[in-house]
Amino acid sequence: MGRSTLYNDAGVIFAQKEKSLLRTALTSLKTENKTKYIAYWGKIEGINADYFLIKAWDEYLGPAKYFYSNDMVDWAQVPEVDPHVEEMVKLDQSLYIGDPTIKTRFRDLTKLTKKDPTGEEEENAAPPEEEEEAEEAAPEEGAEEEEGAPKKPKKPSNFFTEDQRIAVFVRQIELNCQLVPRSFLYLNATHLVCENPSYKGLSQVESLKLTSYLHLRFPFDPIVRKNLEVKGVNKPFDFLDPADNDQPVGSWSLQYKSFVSLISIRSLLFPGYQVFLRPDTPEWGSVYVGNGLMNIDIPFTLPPISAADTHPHLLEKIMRENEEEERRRKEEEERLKREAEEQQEEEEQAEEQ
Amino acid sequence: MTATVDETLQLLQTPSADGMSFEDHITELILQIIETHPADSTDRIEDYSEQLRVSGPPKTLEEEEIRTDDRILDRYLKAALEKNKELLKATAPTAGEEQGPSDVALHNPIDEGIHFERLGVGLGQEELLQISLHLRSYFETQPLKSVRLWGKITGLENDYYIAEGEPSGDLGEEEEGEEKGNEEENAEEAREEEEGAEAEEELAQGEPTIEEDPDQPASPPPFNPPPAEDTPAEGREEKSPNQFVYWACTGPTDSWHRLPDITPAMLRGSRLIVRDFTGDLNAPVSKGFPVFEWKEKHFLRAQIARISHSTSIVPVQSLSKGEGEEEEEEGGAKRVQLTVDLLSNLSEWVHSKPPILVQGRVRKYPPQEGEEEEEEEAKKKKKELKLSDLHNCWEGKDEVEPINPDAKPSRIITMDEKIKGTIPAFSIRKDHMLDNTPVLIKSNRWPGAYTIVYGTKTAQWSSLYIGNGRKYTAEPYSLPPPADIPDEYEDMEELIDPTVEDEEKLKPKPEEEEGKEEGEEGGAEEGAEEGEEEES
Repeated sequence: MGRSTLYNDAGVIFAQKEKSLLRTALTSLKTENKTKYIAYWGKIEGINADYFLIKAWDEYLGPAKYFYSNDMVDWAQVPEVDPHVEEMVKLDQSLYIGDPTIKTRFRDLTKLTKKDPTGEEEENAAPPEEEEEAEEAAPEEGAEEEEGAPKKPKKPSNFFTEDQRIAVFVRQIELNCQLVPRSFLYLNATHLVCENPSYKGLSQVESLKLTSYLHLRFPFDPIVRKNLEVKGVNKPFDFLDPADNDQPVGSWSLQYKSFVSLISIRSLLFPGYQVFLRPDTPEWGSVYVGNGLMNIDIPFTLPPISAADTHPHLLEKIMRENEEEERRRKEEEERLKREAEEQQEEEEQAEEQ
Repeated sequence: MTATVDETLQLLQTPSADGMSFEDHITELILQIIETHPADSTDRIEDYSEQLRVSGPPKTLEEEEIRTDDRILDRYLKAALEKNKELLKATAPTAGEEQGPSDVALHNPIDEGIHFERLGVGLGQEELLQISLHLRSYFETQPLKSVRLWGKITGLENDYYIAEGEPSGDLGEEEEGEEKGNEEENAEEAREEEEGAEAEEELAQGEPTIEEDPDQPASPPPFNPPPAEDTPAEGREEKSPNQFVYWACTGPTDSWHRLPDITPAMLRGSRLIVRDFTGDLNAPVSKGFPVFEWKEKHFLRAQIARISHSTSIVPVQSLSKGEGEEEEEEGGAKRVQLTVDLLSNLSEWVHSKPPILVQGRVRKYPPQEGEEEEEEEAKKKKKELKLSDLHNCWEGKDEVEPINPDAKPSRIITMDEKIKGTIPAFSIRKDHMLDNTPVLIKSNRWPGAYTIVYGTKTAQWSSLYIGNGRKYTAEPYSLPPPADIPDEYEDMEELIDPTVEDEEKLKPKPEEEEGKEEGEEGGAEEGAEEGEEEES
């Protein structure tokens, strides 16, 4: 219950029906797959339907299983990432349709020829019809390739299904976005990554720094990686990449919402991903709710300020404001004191007279 | 033997650097395990041990020092709490008394929020409650016909909550009040800047009022709006981008800031850029190419206008009876035949607002007279615009058949041009659990623009925008082509160079010339003058 309040405060809304279905799904998937941990991963919004995603894993930094569902009733596992498909879809900007089996043909934009959009003439075409059309059109254009694909692995298919695309996207998020608060995980003496049972949450100051958030991925930074790999190094919390080195600079937006007392960190590179955390409490969560697209326009969308200023400077701002407030308060006190003294003197003078 | 025991004891009892001996440490450790009954005591022993080493034995409340330098957010929390208290207090008596019901028709975002939540979109409950109260406490006293929560636009440092109000006829008063309010609000902010912008706002509205800025009449505004060119901004006519006035605030602890009215130039400018909002209304937007020379509040206002005009929809059935606009606002109070089931079909919906034309207006300027002319114009425009089609799909591209903005809305939303030729402009979500459950219609062109239909017998609808204020085009952003190269100066007429002889011919002999001139002048007026001077 407390957790659903946390999600609600963060602006992640579940319909009542979704809530109950999700609870069932989490339990049943966990027992079916015998995993240690399971969590709601997020939602990818499509044209005709949305995909709900669940992540199940045994070991942090270890392999994880992902499940998707359109209706939250039937869950299917997200396939493994095909590197060939990844090449095709990683920068794709078209919306998800909502049918995992639908095949889409990859069109190399460098070889794009001018062609009239086919969908325009059918005005009242209901979305399902359109899908059919796409499917019909696809084999015509690339029938040979598609038929040839399974037999000749050398010439990979130009088609990809939507669940493959989901797999690629999930991987992208896991690599670029998935954050955990520092000290939520620790490296034990046998170099296993474990949940820290004495995790009490980040303090107010810590929670406003990007360095307190670590990437839940095998670290890229060689120095950090050394901490993870070399046995005996006693740095139980610094074995993951902190978020403040991420490229492009300024791709995280950090906000504090005082009215729900929540820190929220949003990714600008993958709009829709956010980590939310209540300072001083162990409550935190992360979720993706969005179109499933990478913001490839990010060089243009970042505000026109120097790179040094693009980091969240909320902490500095608050510190400055607090200092200012403190100073003002002291001045006020001194002024009052002075006034009181003056008044006293006046009274004394009056009495003397 | 005894000596060794003593020695061991001494070793165990010698305090280490942190003042705690091993014996104390073990004692505390065992004590803690006994006290807390952990299920996995052997697993957690290192953890407990470390905890003890770092923070010492658990302290009682009195012993615990409150570290103030760590608690830097408390001021914010306190402010939020106080504001919350104030809002709740302010609303409590009015609800009971019902004495002075304000003239402002306030939409209740909380009621609508419940229906939005049933489809998994919307704001969080607490967020919504606080914003609603904040909205009510501020707008109850404003001279407005109606106010509603338009939505939320996310920014880097702050999110904007947007309120949409329909001004009630008397604009002057409202603006004065607003000015005062704004000035108070911005007292802490860069004051000069704000006033400059305010003045600019006035200019943009074409209603310059000098009395507004009595403090600084001499100082010129730091930012001069560019000349409005040939397309003046539209007024408060129905369905124009300036029909409604918008306010933005960054949360319940922030006050509402009125956004300036929109000008066609801003709309045109905003189409050329993609940009995330920073959360600071006075931040610059785009200084480089393509330039957006106004501030973020202008950009915000432009995006709001674009979103509103693209995504405001209304059931076509609801328009058959009345005149449209008002009914749309009332949300179907009169209609009986409209049910949610009927409206869960996208072809039942039409755009309630006309598209914004390329020039940044809804009604063409200057107004066209003949229909043929219009068509020709439109055709011409279409040809011209092919290059920039990428950025200007639907909105900003004049349709072949111009739409009369004053006529009854008739553009069915399924007839909208598809994004990139395949993606429909609107999607629909139904929940089949029960009858008459709400239906959600969402825009794919402006992700985050939702319209919801609910109600048991007669359907009601309302819309909300929650997003980052960016248009979805299915294309990567590409910079607009630079402006056309200006035409070269027209070649001058070529003449044959004069020869020396020609020059000689034209050149008068110096003596003759002087003599002539003197003679002429002397004979006419100047000679007389000179003569007079000499005489005097």
